Amino acid sequence: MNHKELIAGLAEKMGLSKLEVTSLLDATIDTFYEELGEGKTIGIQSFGNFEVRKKEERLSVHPATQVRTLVPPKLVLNFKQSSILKDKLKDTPRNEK
Amino acid sequence: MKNSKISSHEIVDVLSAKASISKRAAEDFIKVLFTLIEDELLAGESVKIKNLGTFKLQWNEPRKSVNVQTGQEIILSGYNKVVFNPDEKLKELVNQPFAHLEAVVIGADPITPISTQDAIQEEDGEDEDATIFDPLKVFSEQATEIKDLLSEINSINNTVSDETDEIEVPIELPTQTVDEVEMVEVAIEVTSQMEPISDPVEEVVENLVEIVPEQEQQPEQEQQPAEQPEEIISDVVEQEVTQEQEPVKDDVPTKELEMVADPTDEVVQAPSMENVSPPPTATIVSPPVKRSKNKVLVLLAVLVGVVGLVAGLYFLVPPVKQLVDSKLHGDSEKVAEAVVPVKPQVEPVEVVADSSEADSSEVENEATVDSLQLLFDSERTYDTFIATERMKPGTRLAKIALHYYGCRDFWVYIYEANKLKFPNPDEIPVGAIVKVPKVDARLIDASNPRCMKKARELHDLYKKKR
Repeated sequence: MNHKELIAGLAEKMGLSKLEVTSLLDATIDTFYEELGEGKTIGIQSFGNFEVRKKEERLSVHPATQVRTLVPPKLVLNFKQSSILKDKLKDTPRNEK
Repeated sequence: MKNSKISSHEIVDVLSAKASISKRAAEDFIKVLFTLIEDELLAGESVKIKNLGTFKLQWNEPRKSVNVQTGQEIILSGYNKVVFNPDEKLKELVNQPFAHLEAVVIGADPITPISTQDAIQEEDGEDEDATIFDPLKVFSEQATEIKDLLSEINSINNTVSDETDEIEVPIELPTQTVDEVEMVEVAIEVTSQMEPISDPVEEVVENLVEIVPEQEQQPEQEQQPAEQPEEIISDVVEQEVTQEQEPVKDDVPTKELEMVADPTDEVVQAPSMENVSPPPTATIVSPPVKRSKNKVLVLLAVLVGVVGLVAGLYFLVPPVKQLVDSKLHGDSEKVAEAVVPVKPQVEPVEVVADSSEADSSEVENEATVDSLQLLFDSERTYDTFIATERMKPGTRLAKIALHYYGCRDFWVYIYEANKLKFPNPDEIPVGAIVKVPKVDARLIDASNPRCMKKARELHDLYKKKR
């Protein structure tokens, strides 16, 4: 499902026009950007948490050339599904995609 | 980092304010949005939201595990898991505080001066890598040729040594030949190490030849105080050293090792003797040269050996290097003079003259480099400032350095100027004002590896101090 299909689905479910849905979705994403940009964690109930995590700096060694590189620390966005969602997914078949 | 958690209620609040809709509508929207995503995921589809990222299912294979209490093996069945792959934009936004950091290669620092042995080994490796270069190929081929020649000479040397002893008795050389035979053995090792020094680039080859005059000076300096008679030999040695090295250089482009080497040997020998050594010594040394070809070979080998030893000494013992360098400037002219008379007869001699010129330029180079070293060692004072910066969240000294000096590594100088105010470079409070000092342009030359090295040294120093 891509962005367009998502908007179409939302419009249908909420009885709103696609334009309205688009602006709402954009506002939501904006909110996400603001909060995550400040390093905050966003928790969506029964869905999961969006969390900014710090990956520490590390020393990597190129296996072929043995060149040692110091990889700087970085912040990554991590999503952790909620246990409710996990339970719901338990019975889903293996997805071959 | 503020790690407060925002619940969906707060998201709803913000959203309702942003889109100017009621909270109820906003709550509905969020709910519907995520249930829709959930439904799609449960149906096994992935969901892609523009600018946010992709939600999809990831299958985790069943795996064996052990019940910690009973020790029984159990099998955890495979399951699906929702993974979220954030959009590139979002990733960058999240990582912004650390965005200015770059991966740093450690260990393979080409700037650090290492002992010659190491350097040679490194260059060896480069040689192998760079065999694509035609001139290098030619040169390495010739290097092996020369090596073979030397080992041949060495073997001949051993067999002939008896004979040469007899010949040289009147010339008071017996003890020296024995010594020199030993030297040759050592020297051949040294030269075999030296040869790879010649790098893919021809410049380096030229450098090698530039070294030659320096080496010529050295035997004199070393042996003069020790033994007078040897000086005669060393003089001859010097002359032949030039002969030896010239062909090596000329070969690179022309491939005429033997053709060039032979004439130079014979032609240069006589006149050079007259030029450098007093008449009696000329008579002493020249007979053996004419008497047997082997003798010439022996001498040749000895000379190569001496060159090798001296070069090794030159590189390995810094004081010697300095001594030679200091004397070199004056002496190199002498060498040029001594060789010039031979010019009409032998072409390669020009090389020596050239190289001595190049050599003096090298000396000048070193002079500037040394002034740089002085600059490094001297206490830096910061009186004038080119700018002031207010620290914002995410601002780093490295960033400021990148802006004003063109390279993030020079942040150390900003830190030095602000050291009294902020002793810890990593904990400069937000809102604090940092002065950006005016630093000598030679210190912050990003294209000069020595500046970079100095900056890194300071970096290590300040980071370690914490």
